[in-house]
Amino acid sequence: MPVRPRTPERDRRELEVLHRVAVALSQSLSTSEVLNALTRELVFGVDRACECAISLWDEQRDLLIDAAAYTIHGEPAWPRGQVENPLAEYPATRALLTRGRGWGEYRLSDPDLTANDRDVLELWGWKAMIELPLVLEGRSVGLIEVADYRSSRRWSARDIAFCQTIASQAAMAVRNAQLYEDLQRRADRDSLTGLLNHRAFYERLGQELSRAQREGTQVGVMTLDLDDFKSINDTRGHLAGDRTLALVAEALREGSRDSDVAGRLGGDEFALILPSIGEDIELIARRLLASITSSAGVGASLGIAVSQETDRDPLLVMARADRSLLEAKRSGKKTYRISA
Amino acid sequence: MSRFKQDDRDRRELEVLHRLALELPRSLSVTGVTDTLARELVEAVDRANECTISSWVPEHDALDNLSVFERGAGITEKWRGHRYPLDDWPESRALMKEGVAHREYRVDTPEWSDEVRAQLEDWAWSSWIGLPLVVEGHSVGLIELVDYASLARWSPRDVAFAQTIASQAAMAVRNAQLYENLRTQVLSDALTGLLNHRAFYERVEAELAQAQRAGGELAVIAVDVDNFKSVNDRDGHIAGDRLLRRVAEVLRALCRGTDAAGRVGGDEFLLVMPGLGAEAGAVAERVVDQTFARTGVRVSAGAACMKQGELDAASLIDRADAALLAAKAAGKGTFRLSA
Repeated sequence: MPVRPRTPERDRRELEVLHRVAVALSQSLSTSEVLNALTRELVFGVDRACECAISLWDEQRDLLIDAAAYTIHGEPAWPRGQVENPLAEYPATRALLTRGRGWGEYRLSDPDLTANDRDVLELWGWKAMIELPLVLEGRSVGLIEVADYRSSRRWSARDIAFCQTIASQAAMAVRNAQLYEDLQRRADRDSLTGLLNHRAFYERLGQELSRAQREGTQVGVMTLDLDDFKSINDTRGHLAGDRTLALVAEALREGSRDSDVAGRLGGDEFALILPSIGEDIELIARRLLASITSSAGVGASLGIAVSQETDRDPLLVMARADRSLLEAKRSGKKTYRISA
Repeated sequence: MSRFKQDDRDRRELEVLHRLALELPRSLSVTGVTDTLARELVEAVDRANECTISSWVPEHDALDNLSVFERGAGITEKWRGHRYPLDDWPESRALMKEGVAHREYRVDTPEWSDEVRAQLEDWAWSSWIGLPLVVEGHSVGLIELVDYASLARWSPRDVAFAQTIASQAAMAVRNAQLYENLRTQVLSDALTGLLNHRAFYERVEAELAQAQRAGGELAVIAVDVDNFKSVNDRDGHIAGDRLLRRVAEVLRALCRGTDAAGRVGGDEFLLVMPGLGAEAGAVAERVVDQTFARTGVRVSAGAACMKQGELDAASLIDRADAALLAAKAAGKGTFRLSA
């Protein structure tokens, strides 16, 4: 008889699972992909797990927002992603998130189960469920639920501890993905005004043009140039120039619709994408010119182009708007022209 | 090997892999990740005295050293950043290009030139294994695990374990590379590679805080190309862009140590120079003269020095800007120092 191994088989299997989880979680720097991988690994790695769901905590709005889920049958059939669950109905869960440690257990066979919790378990076909906070740098950012379809017996301390180990191991991968995505958002923005930068603006215009084609709508494009901006820089200094640019950006954000997207293409050149636009485009143009003059104290010229059904190339649409801009400049500034 | 020993070793290896999985993602800097990797490799493989990790730079046909960990001594900074041309190390070049899993080397084989052998003896390398660091099918670097004493063959188990670690670490290295590249993109001006507006202001804020804490000095110099608009209008934007890059090159060359240069708008450049006080005017003059001497481009410059208790980057930059305007008003091609 061989010497009994110092470590039980289970320890070893858990280490193998943890190693696999680590490899799986490092494959991506996208938060949603990391969370998807985590739900999958929990279902594969935890004995009783038939399903795992992760939702993100919006503390200010007191909501949980569904983010990822996986079941023993694969990807769940129900839609996941943006479903919001108000925490007012789940005070115990809210307390768990606030605490940032521990877990909660819910079992159909538990006589103390509240009616509300029983409804949730029955709705999803769960016999038993444990929930634990997903903690990043000491703060809960979300909730992990692990469910058993088959048995409503108590979860063992060992199962719970193992889920916690996996969750804490995932924290770094989630943090890295969030840092990377934050940086990506910054990479799309002009650092002075916070508007989209040149590259991101053209990418977005390309997307809006294809969407307009699919939906049979028109995209409006405006290009703007400040009148005599150079003289502000030269006579009042670069800081005054920077402040003017920031005010113009603010006026563009304020004066456009919520669905419109503004960009700074360089120096004192700005542009605007107006999805699903109609007759009102000239009204918006007039409003923008007026609010730039009043809030930034500088005149602007504006060129407009509206996409045709066949327009796919952002460069061509922008070129038409630029020609209109040139006409507006020639005709004495502080005005707009629209391309035929 | 008895079952006991086998299990014990299996378990130890799994523990190393698990610890590595927890440690590697802690850092999003490439050398942060490779420092951890080098340390864990030496600790996991009994025979290894040293682990060296380098990145492959195909455009320079070279390996750049990232991390060296020596058993007993820890991470050493001595070689970090050192570049090794692969003309001297054809074996390593082959390993990077062929994509083989590993190679084993000894100092006493005839393949080494006299210079290389002298170098290896100086490092005390007796035998070592080279493992390519492979990310998504491409070699991005080289891991070398070194024995200082023995010339014996490396055991297949050691090699296989080192390979497992290397493949697990590859993604962490890739993630750190992606992060560093994106960070550079976010912080730098795309045309010149200097700091962009936001990054420059952040840098000045940080240097101001540091200088006020340490009781040091600090100056900002604003630089603007004279008549840039007419260059753009006459010769086109491409010529204009080329001119801006040449000016940026000169400014970068004038920066030393903790100095930094930024392009914060069209033809506006800024320099921040910690430790610079009374000499700020002279440095501004040198900026004007050197730019003209090296590129034939005339620029104006304005310098301002940090005041006692000043922490606001904008107010310091504002004064440098005002001095720049005064220089322009005085006929361009010159400098002024803010009062």
